[in-house]
Amino acid sequence: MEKYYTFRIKRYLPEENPSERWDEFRIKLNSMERVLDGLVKIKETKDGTLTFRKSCAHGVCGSCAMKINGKNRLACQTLVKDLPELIEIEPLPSLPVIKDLVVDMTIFYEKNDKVLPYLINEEPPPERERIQSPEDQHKILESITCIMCGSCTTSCPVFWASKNYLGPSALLKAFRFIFDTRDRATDERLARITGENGIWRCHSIFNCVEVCPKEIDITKHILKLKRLAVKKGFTGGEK
Amino acid sequence: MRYRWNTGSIAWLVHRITGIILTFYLIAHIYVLSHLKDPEAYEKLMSMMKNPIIKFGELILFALVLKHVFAGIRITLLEMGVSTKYQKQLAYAGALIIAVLWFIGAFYFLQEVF
Repeated sequence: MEKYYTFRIKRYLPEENPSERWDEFRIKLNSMERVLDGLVKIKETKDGTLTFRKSCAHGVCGSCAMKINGKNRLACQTLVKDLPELIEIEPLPSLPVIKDLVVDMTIFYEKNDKVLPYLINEEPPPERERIQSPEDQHKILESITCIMCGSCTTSCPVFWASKNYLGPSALLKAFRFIFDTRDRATDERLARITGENGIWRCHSIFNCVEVCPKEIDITKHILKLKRLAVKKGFTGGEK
Repeated sequence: MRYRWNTGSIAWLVHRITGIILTFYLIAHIYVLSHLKDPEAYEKLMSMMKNPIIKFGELILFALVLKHVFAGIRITLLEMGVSTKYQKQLAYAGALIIAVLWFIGAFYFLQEVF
């Protein structure tokens, strides 16, 4: 079934004056098509200057995260039939915009680097791989599915208020390595995330859980980190 | 900036706002009480408290305290390990208990006036 949808898109064109404006496009889409299909159609048939990130278009790469009708989601995972006739699209909130729907994710990736997103294990490697039992794998299975689209961190009111806060995405990454039985740097990692801008800034607002396109319960992971930090004596002050 | 509200973010914001209001209220409360020097001043203040407008204010204060307490209990339960799957149900259950307690409280508060 085909239907007309109005796409109201927030544009940002740095070389124009004024640089910000709202554009409206009316296009016909069928009930199987997604917001991303609409954007591609607009770019192909209405306005070639419309800029947005896309890559896999199947909810795996996480590049098309944007604010659709007031909520961060992946454009490739949102069917237009689930939305009202007027679809409002903005870039991810609180990150600097480069052009139209493309945001500068440098801050986001820097946070990720701060939690040391790699395996640390000084023990001599075994002949083949470091073995992990299926039970141990299940402990971190949910956190591994993160595609780093940035929806969670940019939906977090604490991050809006303070860009120094590590944010749900980086903390989830920290969880992924702290609870990995093959990793040996738990204390160093905990020391890095229990500072002023770490886990204690999370107020359990659950905005990140609402938006995660992979349906990861991020707050649950942060709360587990908090309990582990308390157990190990990393309470934010002097040890 | 506009962003869609969720149960969790509303609960957080209400917790914050009630907390800030209660902080200012507590400062005023302690200030007034610490400046009561003799029994007459106390009696005068107490007769002033019988005013229906003040009673109405007390009902609002009662609602703020209840809301703040139950928001705190919800967060504490979540931090202690209650499954985050129930965060919304906890918020709704809290709101229901608050409503019931507030009506019971309001009944006793207003009995003093009428």
